[in-house]
Amino acid sequence: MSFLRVNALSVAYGKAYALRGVSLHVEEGESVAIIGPNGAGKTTLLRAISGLVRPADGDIWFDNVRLDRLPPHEIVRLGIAHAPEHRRLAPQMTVLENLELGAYHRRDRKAIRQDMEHIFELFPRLRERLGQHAGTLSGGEQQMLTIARALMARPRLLLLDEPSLGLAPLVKKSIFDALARIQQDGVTVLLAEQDASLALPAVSRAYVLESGRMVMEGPSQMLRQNDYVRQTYLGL
Amino acid sequence: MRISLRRGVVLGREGWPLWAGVAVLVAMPVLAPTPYILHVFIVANIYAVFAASWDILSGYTGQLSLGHALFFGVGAYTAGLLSTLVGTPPLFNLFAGAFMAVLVGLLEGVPCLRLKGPYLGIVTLAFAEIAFSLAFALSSITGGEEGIIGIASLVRGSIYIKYYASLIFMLACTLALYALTRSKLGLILLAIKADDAAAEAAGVDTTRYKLLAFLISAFFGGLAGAYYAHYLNIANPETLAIPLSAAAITMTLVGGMGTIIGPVIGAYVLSLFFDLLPVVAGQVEFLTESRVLVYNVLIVLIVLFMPQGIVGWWRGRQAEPEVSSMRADPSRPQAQA
Repeated sequence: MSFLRVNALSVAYGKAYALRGVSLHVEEGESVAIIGPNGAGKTTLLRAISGLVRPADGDIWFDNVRLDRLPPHEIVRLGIAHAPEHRRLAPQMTVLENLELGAYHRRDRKAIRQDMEHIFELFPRLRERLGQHAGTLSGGEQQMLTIARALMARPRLLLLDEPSLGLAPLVKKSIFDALARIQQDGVTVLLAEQDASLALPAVSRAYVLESGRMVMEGPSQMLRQNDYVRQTYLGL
Repeated sequence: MRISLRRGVVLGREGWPLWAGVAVLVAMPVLAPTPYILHVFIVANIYAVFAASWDILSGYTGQLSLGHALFFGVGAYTAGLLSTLVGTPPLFNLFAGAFMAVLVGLLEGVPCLRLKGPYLGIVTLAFAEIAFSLAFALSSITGGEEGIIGIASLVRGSIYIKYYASLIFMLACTLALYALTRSKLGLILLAIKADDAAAEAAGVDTTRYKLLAFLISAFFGGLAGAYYAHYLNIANPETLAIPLSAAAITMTLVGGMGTIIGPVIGAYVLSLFFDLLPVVAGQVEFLTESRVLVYNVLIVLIVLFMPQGIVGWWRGRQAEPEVSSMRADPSRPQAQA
């Protein structure tokens, strides 16, 4: 049994299907990307895994627990943290308060402080901005905080939605550098990303999602050689 | 840099005006030229608790309640009925009133949890209107338009004693609410207001905490209503009516939303202005006769020139200039960054 397994998942918003019979698996310690154009259903897939939308059909399993009927807060407790698209932070809360919110269900204060130190090694900028309101951070800093907040839950699986969205190339690079270090720490990562040229080198396997269907999957090395992927997503 | 996870009660943010204000309130019996002013302050203290109870739910947690008089009225009627029919002691009735308001809050809160923004506001308004109608429909119990009269006083004795009792009541309630906003619970409520989907993604059981905010708000709203009944010795339909719900909102807007101290200041400013205008401007007939007009013009001016209320304005002045200009405005919807 895989660490995370999604079987024939369909999600509908009213009558419009966002996902149709999508299957996916992620093994422990692995990094997997979902690439695909805007509106393909990447965000919906991550939201279904973390319980923020209910599937119309299919099922989701994490570490032998069925997720698709659990509320989001219980899914977080199982060890899945979601860094949502558009960096949804609480703007009038400080950086520190946002981080505390991420660790909200944990009781181990000492470990929380250690994790916070670790996060500041990962994102030194956040330490400098500790008392500042999240709404006053730059886009890149907000993205760092979104990831940091998710890490504060000490997840076993990190769901990362479009971390590069709207960021300058240099900032994108620093986010993906941090991602590599998060993987080294042993966190399993499932990444949804439009920018395949960034996502594919960062992961071992990837799925291509188009109009709510999985059209391709394989090791990222292989996908990078694939003609269709090269033309459509890498622009080569 | 040492990271502190402790979130104690920090009242220092408001600085000296807060402590000066408390000092003035304590000295008020000496300062007040007539006992009538103390009466105005007692009612203002009760309204302050009521407005702060609205603020914790709507200002702080972002769950819009337009019918907050429901809790005040339920508290007032519960205390009134217990006092006149059963004869239980007023202190007991205060908590019984608050408890009944919590039960009503549960009744209202559970079906309302899926509603957001204006939809929630409309339903809360409807709930208060239902209770208002019931106060007339069940006139054999509630006394109809007349209400319940002859409710025992909470504190016997001079107006000075009554004034200090109300001051202690107000300080205890608002300090409790303020401490709550500084706790971990306050952080969660703030996160729900900012973006409840994001709070949910961070692992917060938003449904549970929204309901909790409802119940805490109902408790203090009911407490204020019961105190009101035991001070004025009556509980009438006005305690359930729209103008009272609106008063909680205007007081909080004037003082500063989501600050808990704001509604208290707003309650003083507006009560004093409304009740003392005839005294101060007794000679100027126009001002006395059109005090409702003047009162509303004042509200418009404050909202126009201090959109974050008096407390927000003061905090903005205290902050470093470059930070204050960048600070996110909590009273406006946030753009997706």
